[in-house]
Amino acid sequence: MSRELHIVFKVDGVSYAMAGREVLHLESFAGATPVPGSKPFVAGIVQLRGRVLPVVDLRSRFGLRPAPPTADARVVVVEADGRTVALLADSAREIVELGPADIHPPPKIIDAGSKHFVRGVGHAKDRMFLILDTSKVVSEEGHVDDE
Amino acid sequence: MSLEVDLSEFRSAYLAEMEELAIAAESAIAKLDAADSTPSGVRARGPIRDLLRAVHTMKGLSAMMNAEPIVELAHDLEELLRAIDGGSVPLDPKRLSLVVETLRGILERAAAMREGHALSPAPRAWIEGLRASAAGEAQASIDAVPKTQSAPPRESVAGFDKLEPDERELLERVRPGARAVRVTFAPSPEKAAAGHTIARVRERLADVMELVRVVPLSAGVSSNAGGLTFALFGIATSADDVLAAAAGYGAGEALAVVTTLFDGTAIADGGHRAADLLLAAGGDALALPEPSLSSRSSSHLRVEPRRVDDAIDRVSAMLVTRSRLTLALAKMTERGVDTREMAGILHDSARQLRDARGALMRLRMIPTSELTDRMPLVLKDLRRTSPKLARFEASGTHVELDKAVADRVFPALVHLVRNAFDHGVEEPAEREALGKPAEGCITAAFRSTSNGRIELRLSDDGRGIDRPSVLAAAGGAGAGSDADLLALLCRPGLSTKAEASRASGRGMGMDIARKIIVDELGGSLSLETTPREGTTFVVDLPLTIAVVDAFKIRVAAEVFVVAVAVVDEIVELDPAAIVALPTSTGPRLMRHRTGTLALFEVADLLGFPRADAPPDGERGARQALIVRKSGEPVALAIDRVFGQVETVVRPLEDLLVRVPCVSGSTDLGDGMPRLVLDLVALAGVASAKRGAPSAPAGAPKGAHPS
Repeated sequence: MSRELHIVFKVDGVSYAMAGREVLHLESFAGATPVPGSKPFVAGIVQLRGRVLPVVDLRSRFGLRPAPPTADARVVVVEADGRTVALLADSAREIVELGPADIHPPPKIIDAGSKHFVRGVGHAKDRMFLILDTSKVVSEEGHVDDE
Repeated sequence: MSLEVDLSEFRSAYLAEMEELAIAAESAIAKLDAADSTPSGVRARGPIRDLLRAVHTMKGLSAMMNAEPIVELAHDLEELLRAIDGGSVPLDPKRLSLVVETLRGILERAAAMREGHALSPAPRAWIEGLRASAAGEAQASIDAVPKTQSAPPRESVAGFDKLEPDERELLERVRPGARAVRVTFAPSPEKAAAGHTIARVRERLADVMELVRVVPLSAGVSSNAGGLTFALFGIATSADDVLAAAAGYGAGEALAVVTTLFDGTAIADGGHRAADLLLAAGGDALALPEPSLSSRSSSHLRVEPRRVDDAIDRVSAMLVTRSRLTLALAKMTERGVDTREMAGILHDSARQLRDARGALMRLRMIPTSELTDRMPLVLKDLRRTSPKLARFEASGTHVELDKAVADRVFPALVHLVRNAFDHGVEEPAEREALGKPAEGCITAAFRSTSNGRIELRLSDDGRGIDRPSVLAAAGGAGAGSDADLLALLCRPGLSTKAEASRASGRGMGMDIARKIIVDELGGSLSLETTPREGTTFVVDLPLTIAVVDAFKIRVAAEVFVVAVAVVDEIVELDPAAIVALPTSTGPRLMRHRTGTLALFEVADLLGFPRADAPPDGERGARQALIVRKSGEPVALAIDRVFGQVETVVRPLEDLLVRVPCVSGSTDLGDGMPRLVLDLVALAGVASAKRGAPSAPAGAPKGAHPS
């Protein structure tokens, strides 16, 4: 495993990094069509390049307060478990190179809620990036904001 | 000048005729190829003569079009065929390959003319190979046909090392007449302001080239905010300045932003390269300059699918008008006019229109033989570079399916056949050691299933899939059921170690096949494999892509679509005819000519905030749709029906959005997906709710983006 480019996106001021190979493409976000009866963290569906994809609102997924989407909002289209899902982030405008040595497991004693989604922490220069467990993020289970 | 005008007028007739000739030529080749496998070279002369005639006519037509490179190839091909026909040289496999290659070279150049490209002359070595072959020089062969030459050393092209092996291969094996290129795009706030964002650039480039991959690069010195540039790799036939313009650069910058990696414009390596591209590019690849190889007889009428669709659209418009007539007639009836005779006529006209639309839809149906007829040539190509032997057999090819489905599924089937050959069929010695015939057999069996779909079983009699090595390649654990195995095989980029050196990456092929069959067409793909006996892929396909007559409705400021077929009636809501029960959470009661109906708010059933007053600009009262649930009518209140469309419904597949009461999504033309509501299920939710008004159906959502 060599060093790999990661797409960096932000949710509520926190930077997340996702390996480039997991990301199919980035798109700006102009609103989703809500799907009644879906999980609360599903913002709805969008049509991108002829495909209809579900949008996971990461703020809602992480149990954060909702914020109105701005022009910076991006959907990060990822492939996980043979599915293609769009993740809605506040912004996505940089990339960072991380090698296996830069990525550390999360400490064992951390909040159980977020531990569900974070599988590692990337260190680059003086910054930290959370690395998501994409499969968990796009699964139906384990959302923090159970009603 | 006048000559050019004349030529362009004749061009489409010329191309159509070349295509007819190509069909004749290819069916002759298929016959020759079949004779190839009969003992002691017993070969009928008929097919050679047919081929000769077709090539001769191509030459004549091309000469009229001043298509000199085609004339030259056709001339020498004709000479070779005459030599074979005259018995002065044998038609050995090498010569047959050369014939096939040359025919492809001709057709690729003809296809290039369709695109308006200048024709590349045939390389001298090729022409000389043909001449030598006709003169009986045994050495002359397909080896004379040059391979793609690489331009710059690829390691020096930034981003190239980030590509998957499959993607590199795709670029390296660029088809004749095209180039593998890298277009660089450096985003900046100024460019974004001018509309040049990476998303837009990518879209525009996809219109002028086949994009293979977009690689983000961190730029060392760059003026843009994130220090990020993008390398867009793909296959292009357009000129540099066209590509640069699509990326938002001026012609003067073209040299700086467009890099040619592999140039196929000057060479004519025919054959399987084009097939590879066809695969990798998915459905669109059918538009590649690949000659049509279908075996329609010339007595058939050739019609562009677009025209059939246009006719269907027009009949659909008549159906909509007829629905309006019915509504107008109902109003007359309400006013006491005797409309019985007219109602009868309307009823007949509805039936006739439906029949007419059905007949038009059937025009789009083609036999599955159009899919399978090309497979022997795919196998032939594969055999050329492999010691393996395999034949292709098809059954059930009279079964028909929508051309739209056939066109989309074809690349997936080619993948499966290549897979069966590359990974299933063993080499002859190994087969014989196992007591199998030296030649493997790949079969395709189509049948219609009772639920109005088509099933294809694509089988090989090879070694079966090696579970342990697939599991190991996928990183160990896994139950190893056939379904698990398929899921692993469909992972992008998966290939087992032993197979990593092979030309066709199984991972990519299976990934694309699954995407086409499952994601795009809403079919299913499953797998049955037995060690040493072979593998069968079972493909289930819709006969046609779902087209539904639908009402566009508005509910709580959202647009939805509902099938016309399930709506009994649309009624205007009259507040004076509605009464709420003392328990205000349940349904209200509505007076209707059939009695009293329960009236549910669709917004409530969906868990949306209800708009109390119709939105501004909506004329008239709110409306309700009357739907039957188990025979009992239920009224569902909506804001308004605002139109009727015929639309393609796609199921919502992802588990996150697979919900009851929604049967799929559709695009009304604005790029926004709209939900197709299943009113019958919704009425069911409503009925269930009536018993227990406090239990909400389908989890209501607190907030959703506005």
